[in-house]
Amino acid sequence: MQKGKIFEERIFKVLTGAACYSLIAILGYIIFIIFRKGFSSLTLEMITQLPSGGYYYGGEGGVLNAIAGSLYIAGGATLIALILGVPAALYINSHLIRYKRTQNTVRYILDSLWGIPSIVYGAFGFTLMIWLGMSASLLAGIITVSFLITPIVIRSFDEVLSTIPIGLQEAALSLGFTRSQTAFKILLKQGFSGLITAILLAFGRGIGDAASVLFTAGYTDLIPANLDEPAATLPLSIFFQLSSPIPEVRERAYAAAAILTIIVLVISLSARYFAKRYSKGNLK
Amino acid sequence: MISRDIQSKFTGSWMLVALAIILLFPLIIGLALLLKSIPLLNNSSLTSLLFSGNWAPNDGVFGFWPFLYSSLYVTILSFIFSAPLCLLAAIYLTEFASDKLIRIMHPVIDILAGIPSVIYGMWGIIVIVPLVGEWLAPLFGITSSGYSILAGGIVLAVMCIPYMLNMLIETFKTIPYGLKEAAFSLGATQWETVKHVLLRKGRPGIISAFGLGMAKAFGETLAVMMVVGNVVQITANPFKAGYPLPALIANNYGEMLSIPLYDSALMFAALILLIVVLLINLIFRYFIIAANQAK
Amino acid sequence: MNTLTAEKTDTFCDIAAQRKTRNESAISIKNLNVYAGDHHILNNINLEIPKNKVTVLLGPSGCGKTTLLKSLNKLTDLYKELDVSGNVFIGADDILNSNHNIPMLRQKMGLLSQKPYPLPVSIFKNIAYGIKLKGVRDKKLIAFNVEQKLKEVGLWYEVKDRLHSSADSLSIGQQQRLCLARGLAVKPQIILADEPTSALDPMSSKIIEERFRELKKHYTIVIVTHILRQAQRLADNVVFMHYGKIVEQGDPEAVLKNPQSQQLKEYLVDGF
Repeated sequence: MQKGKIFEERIFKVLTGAACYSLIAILGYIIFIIFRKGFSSLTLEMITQLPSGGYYYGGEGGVLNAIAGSLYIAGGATLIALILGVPAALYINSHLIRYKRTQNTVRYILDSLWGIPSIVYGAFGFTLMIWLGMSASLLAGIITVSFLITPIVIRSFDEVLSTIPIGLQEAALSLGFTRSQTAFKILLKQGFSGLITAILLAFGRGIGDAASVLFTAGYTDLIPANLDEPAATLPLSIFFQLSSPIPEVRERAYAAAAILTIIVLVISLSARYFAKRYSKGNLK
Repeated sequence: MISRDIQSKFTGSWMLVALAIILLFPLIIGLALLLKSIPLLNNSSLTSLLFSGNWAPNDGVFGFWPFLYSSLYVTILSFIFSAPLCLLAAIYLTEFASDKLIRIMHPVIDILAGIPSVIYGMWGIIVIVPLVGEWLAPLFGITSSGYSILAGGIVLAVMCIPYMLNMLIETFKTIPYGLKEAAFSLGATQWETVKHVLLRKGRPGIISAFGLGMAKAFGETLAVMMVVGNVVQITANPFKAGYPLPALIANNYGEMLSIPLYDSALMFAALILLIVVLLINLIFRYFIIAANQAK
Repeated sequence: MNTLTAEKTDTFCDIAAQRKTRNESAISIKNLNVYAGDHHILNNINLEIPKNKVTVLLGPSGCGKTTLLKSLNKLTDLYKELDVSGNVFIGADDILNSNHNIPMLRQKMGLLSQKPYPLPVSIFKNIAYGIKLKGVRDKKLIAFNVEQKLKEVGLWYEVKDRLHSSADSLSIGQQQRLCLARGLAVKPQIILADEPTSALDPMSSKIIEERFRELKKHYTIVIVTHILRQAQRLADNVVFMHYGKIVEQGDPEAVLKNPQSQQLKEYLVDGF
């Protein structure tokens, strides 16, 4: 009887460990492949030049249009998400602090929002665009992506804010602060590192998402000079180049993918870094 | 100078308004999509839309079943591949792993979660499609280009892993030490404690993690689109191509406005996606809350 | 004759802590040290736990008494941050350094925690769990044991009609008695109790204490408590701890009425 137990225990220890290590292996493999394929075609001009006329047939140029477009869209969308999301998160943690049930309901709905597929936002954005008489443009792209990333900003920031001890708020209120002042002066300060993490997460999502900008941002070889010009995005740029029948163009898709991966890696790692810094240098 | 009171009231109201807008989002989106779908709904019955396999937009016939079928197939496959892996890894991380490993896994999971869909799709094309077409299919004596439901399932599985894993770890972490101590002192080994305490007590959390992971897989667009083949057909053979619902929308938005009712159809497809994913989220998340309260 | 002395030359520890104890030890603790990082939770503990007597571990919070209790059946394994060294002999086996079959050694002791932790199964299965772990398959035997243990803790008549309903449906006092019965079902020689009544109402506390008084006829009992009157009521042997060291121990009459050390004097003043 005992032998069977020991055997079973050993097997599962091995199995579960193998599962764990294989996940690390999978990640390593993905990054390895992307970088290996991508770095061979990655040149400086890829990053610094716009595609020339013949770019999609193997001609000169780079993906600066997409890099710029993506940065603009992600940046603009993050800004909107902040304007809407930060006050919302602060509200949940300050004004609603006494209404536990409402708090929980709101968080429950927000969590469910986080799961909505980006293509739904894309379709909605497209509908909105037509209704407002806009054409595929930077602005339409920014608005659509902001729908996508606002729940992310709210919930991540909210997670951090909820760990701030209530005592701090109570102290502020008894000193004469209003609820809103408590929210902005105290919660925001205390949770600032968490805010940075939320911004990074949202930005990372915004820059990598394709389905939401597919219909709404359009595509162009130029860098948009104002809001109603179409904008190229890195994910779409990769996608279009990859579908090309010409091998050189496909190679360049890998390079663009490497660029995107690097951007996302930097964002993920710095988000985690800031999250850690929050838990260290903070009032406990 | 605006008095502090008025200033405070203004920011206070703005906060409330911002929150209200965000909470109403799904409703607004749903309504808009519904409005756009009405022409289609007026044209054909709901059952024929959902369950007919006849997809001929040029003739004004829209049967969504092949797409729903593909979506379901690909989602279930991704579940089969990712769920056991995630469960085992989560158990290892919470019970057996060293601190060093845990510290490594955190960024690994974060990065996996942050990798954009298009990169997974690209990886799928480079690695998985040949794997399926040149390796796995011949093993079963089937010819396949590799662009298949199976390839879609595998890529989706990898994409779901970070989410499921995080949720599972969260679940396991909430199991009180006292319960594990009780099992230990009764003579249970570590693995027996996992079996009898962790998995039992964590069951609601585990089920929810699985459900939410599947919801995510159901809505995933780009990565699947790149490897699944995009052929409208209903087949039980996973080595053949499929055409999940999100891919339908993404691939055809260009033609949307040139064929009558096509735009309604695609908006209707988006509406289906919204409802399904939102429902799954609401149900499973409620499930966790209810299970936690029953204590 | 075993006489025990506290280790360090703190103020009163050496001479003051000599009291005579019984011959037979159920547990023999030698040079037990527990660290959590730099924090020295248990400092060179040497202790004999006498057989078939109730030993009470007393002390202010943070003195390490719960950690000591948990070291006795190596529950410290669950806490990766703890660094444990030393020997704990249960009979001839050193549970801390044994290479084989710690689960079986653990079954020599039954644990009762501060809060009841019923397993997520039915009342019947809670008690049957330990029995089944021992390898018993006979259904009639298991059912007989379950009934017997429930009777031992005075729970049988309250639950006999709903043995298969979830253990969560019981009140806290009943759950604690259930956990006691569950621990007894593996037929341990020793019972370890970590503040077993602190979460209970006075009625249930009284019942648990009565059980302990009966159980000490057949089992060795080690109780951690901060309730001085409980110590007075139950103890045959009192061990007073302070900051990870044993400061005084011995007969409850002697120790509690005539404390020798300053720490114990202060503790008693606050407590009574």
